[in-house]
Amino acid sequence: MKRVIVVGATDGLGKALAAEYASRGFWVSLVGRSPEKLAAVGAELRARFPDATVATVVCDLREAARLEPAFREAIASIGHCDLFLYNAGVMFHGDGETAEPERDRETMDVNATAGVVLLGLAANYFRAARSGQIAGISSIAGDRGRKGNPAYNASKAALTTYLEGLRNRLHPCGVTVSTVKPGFIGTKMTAGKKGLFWVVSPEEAARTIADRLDRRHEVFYVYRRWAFLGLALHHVPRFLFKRFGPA
Amino acid sequence: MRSRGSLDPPGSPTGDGLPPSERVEGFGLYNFSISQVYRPGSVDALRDVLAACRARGGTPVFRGAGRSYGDPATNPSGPVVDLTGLNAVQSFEEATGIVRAGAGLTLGDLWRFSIPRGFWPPVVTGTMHVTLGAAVAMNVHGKNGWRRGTFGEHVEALKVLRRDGRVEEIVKGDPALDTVVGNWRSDEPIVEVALHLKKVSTGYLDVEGFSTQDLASTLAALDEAKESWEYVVGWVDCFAGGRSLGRGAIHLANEHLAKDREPSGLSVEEQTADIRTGPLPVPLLLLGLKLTAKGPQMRAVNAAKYLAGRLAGRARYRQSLVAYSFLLDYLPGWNGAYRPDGFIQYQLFIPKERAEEAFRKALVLQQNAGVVSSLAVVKRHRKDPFPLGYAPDGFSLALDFPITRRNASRLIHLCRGFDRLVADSGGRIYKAKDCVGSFERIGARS
Repeated sequence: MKRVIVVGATDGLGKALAAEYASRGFWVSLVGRSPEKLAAVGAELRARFPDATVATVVCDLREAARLEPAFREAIASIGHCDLFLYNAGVMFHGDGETAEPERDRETMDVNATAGVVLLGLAANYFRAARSGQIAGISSIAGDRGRKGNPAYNASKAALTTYLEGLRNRLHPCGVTVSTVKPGFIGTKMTAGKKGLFWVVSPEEAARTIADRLDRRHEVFYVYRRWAFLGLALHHVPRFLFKRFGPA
Repeated sequence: MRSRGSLDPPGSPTGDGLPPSERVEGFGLYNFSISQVYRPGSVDALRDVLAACRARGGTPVFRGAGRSYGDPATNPSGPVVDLTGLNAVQSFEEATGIVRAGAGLTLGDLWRFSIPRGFWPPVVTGTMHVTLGAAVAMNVHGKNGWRRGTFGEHVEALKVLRRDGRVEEIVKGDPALDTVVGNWRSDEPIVEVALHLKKVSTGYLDVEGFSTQDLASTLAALDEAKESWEYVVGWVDCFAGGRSLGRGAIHLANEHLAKDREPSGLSVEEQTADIRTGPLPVPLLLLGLKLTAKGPQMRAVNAAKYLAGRLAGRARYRQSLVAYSFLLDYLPGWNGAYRPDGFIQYQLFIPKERAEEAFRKALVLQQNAGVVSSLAVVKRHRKDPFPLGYAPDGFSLALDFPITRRNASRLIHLCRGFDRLVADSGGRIYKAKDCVGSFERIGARS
């Protein structure tokens, strides 16, 4: 009977999370860029879960002026919010050597800036509610800057750090803020990418994430073994990371 | 421009004279909104508040004492206007029993005013913390639903603050009354209610209680008693199955007539003295409720309640009007036992011809789903005469369900099953109790 807003709900993990929560009896508000995709996902969820209440809100996260109205619409679409999930993210595959200003800016806009704005709005909302839960889908890629996609790493680092700040800010209000670092998920974003391992399906990832959020875990990976890898990567000395670090 | 609201940090000064945002809850606790709440203390102040809200493009929602279980008194996309400040008794005519009071006056305030004068509200809810305005807007009912109908039937006149700022009086018989009674979504608030109170010779009731062995006998007992008893209410053990499906207890009551040298009960002290919660202090009872409300113990509690009634046989006793009427107020703050997830109430109103079949299905649906109501109340109703009314000539079954993380999806499924059952049976639901109405079903709020 709780209500969840999923930002970035039209594909991959976001869509799977929306379905997972609909199956658990949540009222779901889907936020996404494409009206057509949103309508299709909404219709699919209503068909799969006839008892569910599913609302949709169109929002292009690159449009700064649209963020606050979209947040209000999402709240109004399901009455209130108990869980705010920021899943939106883009990753461009360049040549691994050359910065592409437009794409890098879009990466920061969607992954970080819009996340900061919407998560901040959610934080204010939950502070007033004196209850609730926030979760951001960040990435192990934000733990270190890598040569292959620095903008993506920076955007996830910003998201991770912002979520940590919110966690510390909202702790006295009884609001849990979780940072999810899923690892590799078999979605459009990772399609065709080489060197992937421990790949998990969006559905399994969504189920695990929902379980861990239910237990109010604050920072977690879908597979626990990612935590050990993350720890190891974090402690690789800089001179070694420069020469041998992953792309 | 939209009004500010859900995004402001709590308690922060808004800089433009607007109140800070705060959490506004439904009584079932699981519905809430973060809204700016205005609390005008007079009709003039209310007029100013509404003009300001509308100038900012906000559509306000009006709130009384917050006893609706679901979301009617919350507003996810705008301000909330709390009308409890309009709580003055304007006048009372002893000869006619008509009291005229602000819409924010609660039934509790009203009976405290009226009982020393020998009068009692004609229709009261299970809690006294309902305002007169909300009682009209929801057109509430009581345990005397057959004999007295709904609250709106006893309204002699109303004053409504229209959108243009005029206060318009609507008197009984005026067709405009039909657009106000039961119109909980109106954006024109009721500001004053003139209510026809009932003359009573004492503040006591003669109560008769007995148990029933199955659903047919429960409904038959209520139906047979409806003409000769003022108050007719039943309780059902929803856990019982098989031949005991629908077993329960009936409580009937009529006014206790005055006798010489007996206390009249026409004082606030005598009324409240009759509220007995047993030897345990209230905080301990609330703790007990918190520990048991969501657990399997409710099966045993229901069975014990039934067996106790069975062993007691046909019990007759005298009880004050307050003690009999306001069972929900015995444990102040009892809904808090259901935090953090809250609870829902679903009340099915079914025409009399289809009631037994529908309630039988409702009980079986619960048992099959493994989600069984911890408290179920049956009442007999006459047809609600208002176009926006909900009660048919029939019965209602009110069901309480705690929400837990484990039962949420089954509970929604169950409620959707109830929706279909109500629709198939030609019944209705009641918005003051509705907690699970999807926006598709009830229509998006304006």
